[in-house]
Amino acid sequence: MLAIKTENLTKKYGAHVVVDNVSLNIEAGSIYGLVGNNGAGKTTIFKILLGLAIQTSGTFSLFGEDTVRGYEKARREIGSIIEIPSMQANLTAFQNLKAIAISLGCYNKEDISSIIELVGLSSKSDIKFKNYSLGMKQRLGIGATLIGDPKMLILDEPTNGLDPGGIMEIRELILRLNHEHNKTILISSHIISELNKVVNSYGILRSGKLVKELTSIDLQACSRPMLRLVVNDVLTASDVLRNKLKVTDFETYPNNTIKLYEMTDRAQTVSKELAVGGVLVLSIEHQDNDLENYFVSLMGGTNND
Amino acid sequence: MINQLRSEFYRTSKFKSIFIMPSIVTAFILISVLTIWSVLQHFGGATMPPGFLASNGYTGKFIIYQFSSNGNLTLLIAIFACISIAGSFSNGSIKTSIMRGANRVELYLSKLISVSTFIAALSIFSFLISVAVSPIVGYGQEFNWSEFGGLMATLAMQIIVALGYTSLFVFIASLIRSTGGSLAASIGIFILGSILSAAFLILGSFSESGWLINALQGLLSTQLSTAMRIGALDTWEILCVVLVPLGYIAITTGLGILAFVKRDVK
Repeated sequence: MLAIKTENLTKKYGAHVVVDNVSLNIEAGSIYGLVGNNGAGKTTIFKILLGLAIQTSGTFSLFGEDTVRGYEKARREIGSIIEIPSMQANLTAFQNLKAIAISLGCYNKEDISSIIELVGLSSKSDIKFKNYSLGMKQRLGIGATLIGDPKMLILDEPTNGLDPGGIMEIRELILRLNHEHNKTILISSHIISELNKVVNSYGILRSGKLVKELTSIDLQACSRPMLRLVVNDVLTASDVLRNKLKVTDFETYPNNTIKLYEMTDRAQTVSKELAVGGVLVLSIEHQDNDLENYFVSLMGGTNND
Repeated sequence: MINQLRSEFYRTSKFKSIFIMPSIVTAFILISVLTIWSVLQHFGGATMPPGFLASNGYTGKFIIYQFSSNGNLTLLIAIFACISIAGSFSNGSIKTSIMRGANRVELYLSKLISVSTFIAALSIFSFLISVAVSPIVGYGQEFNWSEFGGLMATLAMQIIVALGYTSLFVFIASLIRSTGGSLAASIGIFILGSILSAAFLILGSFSESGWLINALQGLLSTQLSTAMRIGALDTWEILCVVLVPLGYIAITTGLGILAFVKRDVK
């Protein structure tokens, strides 16, 4: 079952297209990471899903609901943080959570206290929100998402402002909520190495467009170390690899390119055997593709503007 | 809607303004009453004819009618509406409500109702303080049931006008969405209303058709003056003082909801 499905979702501000025909499929029970540079459209997609922005065109459904009333009903089952957590500055942590719980019709003093304890703010629950550090605000924001025991969490850069210990705690909390409570989680982050520790499906955005949707298994395959070969004859080279070198894990691409995922530390042997087999090797390059490089290449480089 | 309303009342009850504004109102009334009292004490003797101030309307009744719902209260309404409504946009709490599935129409109405309830309570408080201090300048002997009825009618009219202003300022705050900007716009509109009211009155006194005087009735500031006036009002004036603020409430609430539903929340 899909928790969220978008079809050709588009958002324009004047002539500027922020989200461009994005079609996402987020399975219930998954942890889905939305990855993209600043301005790629991640937050805008979240805002549309959560009712803060209205799409210019396209449709979406939340837990199968696709009407205005249905969205409101579904959103009661979604806890979320967009950008920085938004709370009433003059209220304490407890009072802010209480106000949200009252509006959802589920206020219970013990529940609020246990959420505050869960996010590590027990000793600071009487301090006003305006006096919180960014990390404390972030923790409280995550606490607010848990009110009413929602089925899904949407977290936009949830580890912003947290120290390494805090990042680890949030990661463990996310995993626990997903594994033990079967909550679907949609998350965006710039820290790809961090995201990789929790996410099992990815959507990669580039300038408002969805470049690719893939699972963590697909991702591992795509980001494996490899030898990238350019040869004069791909068919003969494939025969040599298969029959002489007994290699099966390779892919051929246009422009006479081969990506070889075995023998990656034996470039000389591969080159020699191909030459013996009558194949002219034009170039051979070892690529130690880590996740970060792979994402950066998909997202369109390191430019964060 | 009920849960949303309860949440808004809870949030509103935590504003410092809940305590500061009644204190300001009390201070204004006490300062005004004591000033009039000291003037009466000083000039009540040889240099001024006895009862001069009273004969010119500076009585305890004047205190009740004028000070319980004067321009200061209108400014307090503007300040409170801007803190409450525009503040919830700038601190993002309105965003949190929408993200958790609040219906935008219900959210707008809940905010309007919670602010209006506080303003109505402030009007009643201001009226009661005015009644309490009015004996200092000689009110009380004339009190009877007829007088009580008159006072209650005045209170009701002043609350209706105050709610008209509340709805207008809530609309402005929800459009502008920044506390400073909406406060400036609200005060500007209030002052503009007073200027227009004075200009129409002056021009109307020279006009033969009288349409300017009728046009005056469309301004909330005119209705505020009517609600504050000592003496019996005719049917037309009573109709205006009730219907004009209600018209403002209907129009500004409708427009406010329309704008709130259609616009993105940043």
